[in-house]
Parts: sequence; C-alpha cells; structure tokens
Amino acid sequence: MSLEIGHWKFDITYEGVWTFLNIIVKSSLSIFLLVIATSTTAFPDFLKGLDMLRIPRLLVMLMSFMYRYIFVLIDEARRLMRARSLRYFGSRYKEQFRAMGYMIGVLFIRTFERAEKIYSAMIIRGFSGEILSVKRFRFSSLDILFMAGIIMSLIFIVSGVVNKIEHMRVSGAHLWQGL
Amino acid sequence: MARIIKVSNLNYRYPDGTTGLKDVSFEVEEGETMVIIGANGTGKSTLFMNLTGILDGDGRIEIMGLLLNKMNLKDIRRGMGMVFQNPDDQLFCPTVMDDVSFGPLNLGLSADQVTETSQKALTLVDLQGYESRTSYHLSFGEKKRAAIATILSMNPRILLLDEPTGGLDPRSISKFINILYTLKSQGKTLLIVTHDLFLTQEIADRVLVFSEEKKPVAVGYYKEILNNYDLLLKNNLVHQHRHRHDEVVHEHEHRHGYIHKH
Repeated sequence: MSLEIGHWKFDITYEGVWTFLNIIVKSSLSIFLLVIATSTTAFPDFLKGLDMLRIPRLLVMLMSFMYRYIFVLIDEARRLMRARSLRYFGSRYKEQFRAMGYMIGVLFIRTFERAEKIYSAMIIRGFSGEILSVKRFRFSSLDILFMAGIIMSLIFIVSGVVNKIEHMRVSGAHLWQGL
Repeated sequence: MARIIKVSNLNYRYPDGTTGLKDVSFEVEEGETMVIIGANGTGKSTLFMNLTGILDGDGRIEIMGLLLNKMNLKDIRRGMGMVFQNPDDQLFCPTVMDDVSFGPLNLGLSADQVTETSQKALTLVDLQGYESRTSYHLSFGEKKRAAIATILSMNPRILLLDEPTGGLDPRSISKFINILYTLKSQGKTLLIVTHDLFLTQEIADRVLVFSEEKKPVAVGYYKEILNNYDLLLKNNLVHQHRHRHDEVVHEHEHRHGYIHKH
C-alpha cells in the first residue's frame, strides 16, 4: 500500500511497520520503567542505585549536585524576579530586557561563586578528587517480589504484542487492519 | 598550654586590589575559645580562608606545630574543620547522612567507623533521625546544626566557625550555644567569627577585635574587652541610641542581646 502527499510518495511495508512497532514498544517500556523507578525511589537512593550499577562516579556526583542546587538556584532566580517586579511599574518595556540581562548575569556570578565556596567546603573536609561513598543497601524479600512482578509484567506485554503481530502475519491480514 | 595557632604578619590582598587583611598577628592556646569580633567587612572571614589555606596570603601561619604550606596542608586540614557562614555552601550532598559522612570517608575510615562517627556527630547536634532527609528541606536552624555536624564527624582539634548564630532565632541560638559548650568541655579549640556580643559573652575565653583597617586592634580576656565601651563603640560593635522606658527617655551605648538595668 502506498500513500501520496503532494508529489511525495510513501510506501508502507511489512518491515517498516514492524520497525515502527518495535520502536514504540521499546520507548514506551522505557518510559514505563522510568516512571516506576522515579515514583517509587527517592532521588538519593536512585543516585546510589546508579552508582552501584557502575555508572561513573563523576557523572553520579554531577547529578547529585544538580539535584541539590537546582532548587537553591530556582529560589535565587525567584527572589531576583520578585525584587524586580516590586520596582517595576509597567512603563518603558524595552528597558526590561536590559534588566533581564543583568539578572541573568547576577545569577551566573552567584552560581559561580557558590561553586567556588562549595569546592572550598569539600577540600577542607579532605576531598582530593576521589569520590567515595558508604554503600548500605540490602536486598530484601520484598525487593525480590517487586522485581519478579516487574519482570513478569514486562514479559506479558512483550509476548502479547509479538503474538498479535505473528497472528496477523500468519493469517495474512493487513497490519493496519489489525491495529 | 601549647600554642595551637600562631599567626604572624599575615597580609592578604584580593585579586581586584582591595585589602583583605593588614598585618595580622595573634596566637591561640590549645583548648581555648577565641572569639573574633568586628563589624561587617573587617576581614574576619578572609582570615578564616587564610587559616584553612584556601586563600594564600603573605605571612607566617603555624597550626598544631606545622607551618601552613602546600606540603602540610593535608595534615592541617585533618585536624581543623571550618563551618561556613551559609549552610547551603556546606551541605552539598543529597542527604544529611551523605554530607556528614563525606569528611570521615575522605579521612579513609572504614564504613563502620564512618557510620559510627557520623551518628555521634548527629547526636551531638540533636539531629538524630535526620540521616536520610534532604538538606534542602531542612529549616535554617537545622541546616546550621547539620553543617556543624559535617565537621564534628571528622573529630577535629580545632573548629573554625563563621557567624554560627547569624540568622537564627533566640531558641536556636541557645541550642547552638549549648552545642558549643559541649565542644568546649571536650577540650576542642574554638575560633568563632561573629559580631554577636551576646554569643561572645556566653562562650568566649579571649576576644580579638578587628577594626575597619582590616587588622586586630585589641585582644584580651572577654570581660576586659566587653567592658571597654570606647573600644566597642569605635569599632562599630555597639552604637549610641536613644530609647524609651515609659517616662524615661535617655541615650546610651546599646549592646544587642544584653539586658540592662535602668
């Protein structure tokens, strides 16, 4: 079957649809897992998990800093915005772009100086470039149950989709009719 | 008693040319609590940055018998902790426990020892049960206490505290003073930067006064300094003010935190 849009012509093939479904299933499963992981795990635990999965420490550390300071940064930006809006009365609207520029500048400098202070706080406490952590996770029977549940449901979903496609291929039905 | 900190002729100039410290010399005995008072911008925090080797000024600094230089820096930092003024700079990990155990981990302690010293530090600042809390969600007073715990877990001989009571409510201040008392009784050397004369009166053994010329102008037993009104007035630590007690209106030096009779 083919589709014509203007002078473009699209052919819909069995392999094409298979690839399409493949991508859809994979991506929705990934999102599904991500949602489950983030909604059931506190972020610090999530980071520890990544660390245990041998994700490079530097990357994990960066993520933890991001998580720690994003709120501080947002708060700071909000304070700046508030200070501006308290002194802004709605005239000379072009000037506001300049004020916005200053604000971004101030925020950048503050972030930069904070980074320097944090680094000082780290080296005072003996940081020498090596990132260490105490692992204290235990695998309980509840975790095994949870994992079994997740794996089972994944198997059901995948096998369901595969069965459907196989069935349609065998029966010779058009794929788009089956959907 | 042994001199644990010796500073002589320390000068520091910021990269932009402003003078940070001018010819600073003083000594601290082991186990004593030295409070450094001075108005805003007199170089108190800059002094701390120099003592920890973050800023590198001209002069001679000797800590725990070691000359402060690149070679000894690590050993000095093992025995000396500094608590920053802003706890958000001090607490950079996702959870309180991660932060408190950061120092001991870097000291190379085993996992069990790390957990033990961290727990002890948290107990001392009355933050048991806060281990897995996110530092961002703590109140300011709790953050300040968590910040001091991150240093206590390393069990340092010397503690540098930058404005420990700044921004705290009266109840948190008295809680904080109790913590400082405990540390004092453990024989730790405390160096505290503040302009809170109430705290100074409560905790100080000796007081060092910084002037606006970025250098110490007086040092002495705390009662001596705190009773020297002229000195405090001249260095903007007290101010002349007028106030009213029903019918009596009068003017006198005012010391924040003091209860005075009329």
